[in-house]
Amino acid sequence: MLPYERPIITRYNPGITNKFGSRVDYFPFTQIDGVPVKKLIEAYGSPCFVLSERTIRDTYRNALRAFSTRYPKVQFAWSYKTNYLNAVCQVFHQEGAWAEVVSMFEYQKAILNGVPGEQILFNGPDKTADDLRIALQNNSLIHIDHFDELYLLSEIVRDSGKKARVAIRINMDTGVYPQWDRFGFNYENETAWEAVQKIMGQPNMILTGLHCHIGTYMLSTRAYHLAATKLAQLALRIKGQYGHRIAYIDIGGGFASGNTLKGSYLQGSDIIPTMDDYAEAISTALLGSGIPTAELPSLYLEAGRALIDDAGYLLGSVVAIKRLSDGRRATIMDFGVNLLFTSFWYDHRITPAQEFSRHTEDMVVYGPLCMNIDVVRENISLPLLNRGDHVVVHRVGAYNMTQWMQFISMRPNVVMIDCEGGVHLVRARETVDTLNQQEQTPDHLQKIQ
Amino acid sequence: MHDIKPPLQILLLGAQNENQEVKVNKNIAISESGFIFNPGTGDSFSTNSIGQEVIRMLNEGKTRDEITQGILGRYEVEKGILEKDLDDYFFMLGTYHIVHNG
Repeated sequence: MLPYERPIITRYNPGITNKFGSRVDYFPFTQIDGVPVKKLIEAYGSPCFVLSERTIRDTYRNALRAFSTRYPKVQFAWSYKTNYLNAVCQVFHQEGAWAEVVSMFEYQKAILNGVPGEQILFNGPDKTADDLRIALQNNSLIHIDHFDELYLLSEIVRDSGKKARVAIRINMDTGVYPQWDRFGFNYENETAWEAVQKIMGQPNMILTGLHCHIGTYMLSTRAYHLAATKLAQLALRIKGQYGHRIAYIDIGGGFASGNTLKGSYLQGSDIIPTMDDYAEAISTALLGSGIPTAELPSLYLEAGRALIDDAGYLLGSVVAIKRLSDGRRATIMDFGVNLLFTSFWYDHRITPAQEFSRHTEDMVVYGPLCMNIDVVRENISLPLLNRGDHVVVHRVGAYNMTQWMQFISMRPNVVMIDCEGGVHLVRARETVDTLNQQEQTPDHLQKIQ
Repeated sequence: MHDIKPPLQILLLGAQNENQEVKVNKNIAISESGFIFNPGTGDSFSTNSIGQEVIRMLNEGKTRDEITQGILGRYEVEKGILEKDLDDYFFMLGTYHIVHNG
């Protein structure tokens, strides 16, 4: 018997731009790090997230090489919010990364993962008094976001008798639009300098670092050059005014991954700067800032997306194929925006996991949610798919496993393939009990009648 | 009085259900590689190998049921899936004015 393929007929539209784009994949994606996709789905179900430990380590080492070959003192801190699965965090910590957290939940995760308190960078606008006390107790680096936090911390350190190691988050004009100015203190209007003055006047606060996070998925390395230059100038001003040396400059994250943003004419992987490009822009700004070589601050980096996106895959299956009222083909997958939150801003690459012919269909890819916004790809050209066929979604390592939604179904298994090809379950799929155990039903509502 | 006729594709679906004959329009040109040209509208199309087989069987005067059996006998496919796919294929052939009811 011959393998079956649906009969299709496609009309040519010469002279008209095809909004579905052209075909990009010519071969099925049948294995991840040598492990067959089919076997992963048989063992762990569909959908299922897969993480490649080898890719995480390779990506991290490449980033560390790019920066440490250009600048003498480099320290990465793993951005927990990007992916705080413990197994992922531990790979980064084993490679030497500290922890960068933005909430007490993440802080607790870092502590439970064995990260020493003094190697935790505590960012974020919402730190309670209790959060600050814990961070102070553990000698963590507290990145102050606003004056209210500064005053709250001031009260806490005064009562505790301990000295807090702090940095201020600084927002600034780096020539990109929109300017991120909701976090931290502004550079140009001198609010940042005002914060510096207030901290320098506090005997129990040590201004240890200057921090910025200028944006996300930044395609301009020039913006980082400007940011690093401005922070270095501020460090020099502090040195000149107070004789105080800033120990580190934290340039944040925001480096782009190879994903393609919606509306982008070119594929993301063709237009993003390399890690070497980012490193060159930042290190030349610091080295050329006028800070004496012996006093150069450490360079801290909080890259998340660029370090983990490539290592994550989402395996899924075709639920149904239908035709819409306007004649377009629609394919319904067993994963949607509940698991692939990033599909709101990326055109994710989707590849069939089994052999296919040269024929393709333009289609919309929907998720399984009973919700109109559940669109994974609005326009994509894919080989012919049948119900039950498997697909692989690429570059899903960043943000999906932290921003995923539990809506009408449970979050699926997450597995990690180690460097020897061994497969490990790193987060078990949720069940109805996972949610029900959090609920309490009053006695009078226990029975229907 | 307007002559109200159901759209062609509905007629075609009805024809399939009743196993009526569906014919390929005489002016349609089909190459061996699956390239289809309709000189009446100027539209050109491509179809895959199974699609070519379906059109060939239509040209041979085979009924929908015979076409279904012919494909089931050669390809690894369940009847329910094939029926659904053929419904869609015939629908598109009708939409593109490549076939008509015999």
